[in-house]
Amino acid sequence: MKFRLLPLLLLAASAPVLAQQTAAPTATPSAQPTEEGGLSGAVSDESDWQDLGIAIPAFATNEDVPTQASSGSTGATGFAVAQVITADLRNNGLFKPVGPDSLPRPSFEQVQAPEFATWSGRSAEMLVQGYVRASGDGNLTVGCYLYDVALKQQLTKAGWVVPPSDWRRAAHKCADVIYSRLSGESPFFDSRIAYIAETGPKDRRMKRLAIMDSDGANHRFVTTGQATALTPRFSPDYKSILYLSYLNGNPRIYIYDVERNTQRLLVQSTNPTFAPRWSPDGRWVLYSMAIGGNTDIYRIPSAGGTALKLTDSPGIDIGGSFSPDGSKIVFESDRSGSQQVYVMNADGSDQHRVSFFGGRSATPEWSPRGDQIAFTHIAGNFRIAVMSPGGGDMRYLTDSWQDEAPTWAPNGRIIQFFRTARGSGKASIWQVDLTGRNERRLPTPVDGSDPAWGPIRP
Amino acid sequence: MRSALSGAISRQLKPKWVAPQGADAEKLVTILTWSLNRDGSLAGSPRVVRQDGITDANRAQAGRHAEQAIRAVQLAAPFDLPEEYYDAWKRVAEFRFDRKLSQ
Repeated sequence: MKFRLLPLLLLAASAPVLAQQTAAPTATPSAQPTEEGGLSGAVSDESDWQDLGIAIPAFATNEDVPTQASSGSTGATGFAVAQVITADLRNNGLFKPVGPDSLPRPSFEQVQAPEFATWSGRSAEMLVQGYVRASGDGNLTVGCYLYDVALKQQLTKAGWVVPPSDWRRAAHKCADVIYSRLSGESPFFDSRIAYIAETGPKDRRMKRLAIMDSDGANHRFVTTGQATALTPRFSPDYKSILYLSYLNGNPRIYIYDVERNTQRLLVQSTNPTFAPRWSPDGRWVLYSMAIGGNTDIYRIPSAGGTALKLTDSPGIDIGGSFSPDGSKIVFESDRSGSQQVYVMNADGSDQHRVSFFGGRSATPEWSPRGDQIAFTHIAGNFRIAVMSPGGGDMRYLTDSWQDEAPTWAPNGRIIQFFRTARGSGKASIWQVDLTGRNERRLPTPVDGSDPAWGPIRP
Repeated sequence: MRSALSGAISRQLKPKWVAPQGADAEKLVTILTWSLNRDGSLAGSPRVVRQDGITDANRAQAGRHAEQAIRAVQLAAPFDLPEEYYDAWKRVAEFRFDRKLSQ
C-alpha cells in the first residue's frame, strides 16, 4: 500500500544568529572605544540537567468529521496525535512534556496564533500546537507548529498528508520535527524496530521474529516460532529483514521480504553462519561462518553471489558492523585469548584491536552518526558501553547484571539493548540515551531480545 | 568596576542560561557579543563571536548551544545596571557561556 507523505508547509526553523549576519545598527556606534573595546565576562550553567518543559495540547480541527483512522473522528484523532507525541517525547529524555489530558484545547484559529499568556502561566517553556483536517479524499492533513513561549516566537512548522491508517506516523513525524529542532539531533521516532519475541519456559524458549513501530504500536509477528530466530536487522530501505534461523537445527541466514511475506536463503553452505549485518547502502551483507572450530567474517552481495573472506585468524572472528561511510568494519575477535573489539578496513586490511579496558568486549556496533562504537563490556556483569572509534573515551551507559547486544537508533543518540533478569532469565528490551540518562523499558507483548532499529521512514 | 559590571550581568544571565544536553556537551563554549541601550534593553541581537570545544560527539548540539546562549541574553534583558556607568557596559564584547559540572 503506497502513499505520499508530502511536506505540506515549508519548514521555517530559526537558526542561531552568527557573526556574519548583521545585527541592527546601534544608536551610538563605538567611535570612542573604551580601554578594552567592550566588557567581557562569563556565565556557567552549573545546574543539574533539566528536562525542557513542553506543553502538547490536543490538536484542533476545523470540523469534527468521521474518518477511517483507528483513532476516530478528526477531533478525536487530534487528541490521539497529541498523546502519541507526548509519549514519544517523554520516553526519550530531554523533555518534560505535559500532554492533552491535562491541558486546555486550543481552537483551530489559535493554532497559528497562540495565546502565549495562557501558556506562560502554566510554566511551559515550549508549546506544540497543531491541527487535523479531513482532506476530502479520505486522507488526513496534519499540521504541526512549535513555539517558544518565553520569546513568543514560532520556532518551526511542518505538515503532512497521510492516509488514515498512518495517522500515528504523522504524530511521529511531528515529534521528530520537535525533537530535532530542540536537541540538534537527527530524527528517529518515525521508524520501525525488529526484535525477537520470546515465550515459553527457560529450557524450551520459543523465539519468533517480530516487528513494531518505535513506540511499540502496530506490532506484528513475522515467523511462527517453529524454527528459532535470532539477530534480526532491517535493510536500509525497510523492504527486507536479515535474520538468523535455526531451521532443522542448522543456523542459516535468511532475507525476509516484508511486503511479500516470503524469504530466501542468503548463504548456501552447510557450515553454521551467524551475526548477519547490512552495509549502510544495503548492497552487502557481513556474516560470520564457522568451518571446523574457526569462525571468520565474510562479505556477500545482498542479492546473493560469491562471498569474500575478510578475516583469517585462528579462533572466532564474529559480528562485523560497518561504519556509516562504509569504509571500515568493527568486529569481535578472540584471537588475543579473550573476546575483544577490532577495527579493519572494509576490504579486510589493517585489522587492529581497539578495546583495552580489561575484561572482555563484545558485540560492537558502529553508530550511524559515525562518532561512537557501542559494545557489551564483560567484567563480571555485562554492561552496555560506548567508545570513540579509536578506542578512547570509554563510558558505561548501564549498570545491571546482564545487559547486552546494543544497537543504535537511526540518529545515533539512543541505544537499544536487551536485559536478562537474574534468576528468571526473562529478557526485555531497553533503551538508554547516549549520555547514559533516561534508561527505560520498551514494552513488548511478550519478552523480547535482539532489538534492532530500522532507519527513519521517508 | 568592570568586573563588578560583568559580575552583575553574569548573575542576571545565570537563571536563564541552560546548556543543551548531549554526549560531550559540557565541552561546548559559546562566546557572544551584544550591545545595550541606556535602559538596559538589547540594542539589536546578540551575535556569536566564536565557539570552542566542538567534537564529533557534540557537533549536533553546537547550534543549539549558541541559540540557548542568545536566548538567555534575550530573556535576561532588560539588564539592571547602573546608568552612570553606561559607557562601560553599553557594549559587551566577549561573554563566555559554558557549563560547569557541579560536584
